Amino acid sequence: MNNVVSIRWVVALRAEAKEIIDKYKLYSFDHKGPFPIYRSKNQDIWLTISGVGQVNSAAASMYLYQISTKLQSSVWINIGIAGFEKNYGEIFRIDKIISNNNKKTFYPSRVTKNNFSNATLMTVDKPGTNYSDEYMIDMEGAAFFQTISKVSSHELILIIKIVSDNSRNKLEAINTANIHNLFKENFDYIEDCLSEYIKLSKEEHSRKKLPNKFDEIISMFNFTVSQKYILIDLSKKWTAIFPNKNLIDIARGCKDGRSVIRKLKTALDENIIDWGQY
Amino acid sequence: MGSVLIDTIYYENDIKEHHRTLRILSKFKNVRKISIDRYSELFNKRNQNFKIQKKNPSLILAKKHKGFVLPAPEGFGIGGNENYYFSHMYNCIYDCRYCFLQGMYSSANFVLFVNFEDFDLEIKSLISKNKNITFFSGYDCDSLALENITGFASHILPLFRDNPLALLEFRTKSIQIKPLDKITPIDNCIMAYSLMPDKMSLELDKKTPSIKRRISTIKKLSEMGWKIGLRFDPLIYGKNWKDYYRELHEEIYSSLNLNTVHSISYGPLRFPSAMYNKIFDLYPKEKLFTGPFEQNNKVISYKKEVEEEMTDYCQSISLKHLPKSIIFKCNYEN
Repeated sequence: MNNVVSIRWVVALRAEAKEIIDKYKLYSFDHKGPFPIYRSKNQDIWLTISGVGQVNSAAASMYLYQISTKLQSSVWINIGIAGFEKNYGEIFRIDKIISNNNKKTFYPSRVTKNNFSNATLMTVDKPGTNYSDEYMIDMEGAAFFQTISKVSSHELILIIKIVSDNSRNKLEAINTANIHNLFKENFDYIEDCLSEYIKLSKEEHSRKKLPNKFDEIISMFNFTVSQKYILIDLSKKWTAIFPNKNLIDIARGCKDGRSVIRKLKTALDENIIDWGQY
Repeated sequence: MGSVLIDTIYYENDIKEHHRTLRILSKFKNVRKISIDRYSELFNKRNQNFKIQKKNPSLILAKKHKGFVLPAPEGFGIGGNENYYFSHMYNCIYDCRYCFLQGMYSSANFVLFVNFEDFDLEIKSLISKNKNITFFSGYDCDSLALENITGFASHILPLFRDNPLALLEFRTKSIQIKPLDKITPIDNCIMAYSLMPDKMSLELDKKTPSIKRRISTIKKLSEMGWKIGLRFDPLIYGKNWKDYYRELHEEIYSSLNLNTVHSISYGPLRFPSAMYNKIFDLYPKEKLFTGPFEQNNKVISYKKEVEEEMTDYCQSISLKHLPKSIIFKCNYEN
């Protein structure tokens, strides 16, 4: 799996998923699990439809984590509609979440600098019409964040909410068509925000990546588990010093895994950094 | 360089009416302000990523409840019998690759404790019980770098004017010394600058003022009448290190009134192994972490003979200019 871009979408409603599925040409992934799953052809983008509520959102998020490629550098997005005493259709990035049932508070990271408006989100268990102009109201955000922050870097979790109802736009008026429209109208904006996270994700992917040719070396000799860890450490250091050299050259002429490790250690011990050359 | 753009401030509800919180919040008109209960709700949590947060750190205004002043690590000192440190902040605007803070916290946000007065009480209490006591500021942060926001130097330095038997080391890399214009130099307060050869600093001291500008600032402070501390810490090994360190020492000693130098110290590059592993994981392409190192008692460092050769060599240069009594070697084991 060499895809650098890795995005995981969790939405509550099929109408919320439609624009994302169309845009990224996702197709239904045939499986026997409890939640619908969609993914892109090269499996870099995955989406699940959780259904409404915190339990559904937590379960679907974890299910998607288990079933999709587990990469620490994946961007996780929860996007959906929410009640808020602001303009209908306005879009917000969430940077504070209050779970109404257990009063726990979460703070999604604010590392990216973009033009998104930010808001606090209150996640509740029952739909209601007590709208506030201080916080948005949804039914999934807290559970999504609480669940995914256990398996993903907080800085790669994004929660976006679009105002769908308030005292001037009744909850009862929400339907599939206008939800789809809300997503369609805001999608450029969403992608703009997402692009910042994708940049971070790519950097993380590059940081975590094993050095080039590492897999080839591993396949050339037998390494014990602990030797493998030592080899990872040494080959990363070797690559840091010699970014333009081929790691495979080190392994040439070695008779076993232990001699590869010894050769790498010697090369590192003998190297003295030339600070003047940078 | 050294400037910091803050677009989010979190503040604890407990200190939302504190005069320092109000002053700081009023300085930032267009930033997002978010109320929190305790800073630990969002600072140093599992699965946070220091490297990503460092790209755009937020400011967290908090209240410190305990541990205002702590004993300094073994081997940390400039001649005093008792050594303590205090940190009005966690984290730093600079991004020095050797800094232990990268491995200490999973969060790069700046936590500023606004209840300075509680630090004062504990400092005063320790001074009243000990003679020949030294305090170090700038252990978990840079003492001066965010002074325009924190006002910490302006607050804490006068306390030492009133307590002349205690010594304060104010460790920094900052060249923003304007706040010090308003304070008459205090004999028992040392403005201590971390220094390393320019070639190494360019690679390792990210987002910091250049060595040239630091030296020029040291000169200014010395002319103003401040006592100066020169901190060659950590000592960085590499090709031609002797030439680089000789040139650095000569540059400093030729531009400075040596009578204003209070002390010089040399500190080896050392990491507890767990911390080293965390930092190397964050920056696997960083040449500094390739060594050559050895591991002793869970501490990663250059080989003993390298450390000693570097310290001895640098000391020998300083000894040509300054008395041995003001030259110190840090032996801390982190």
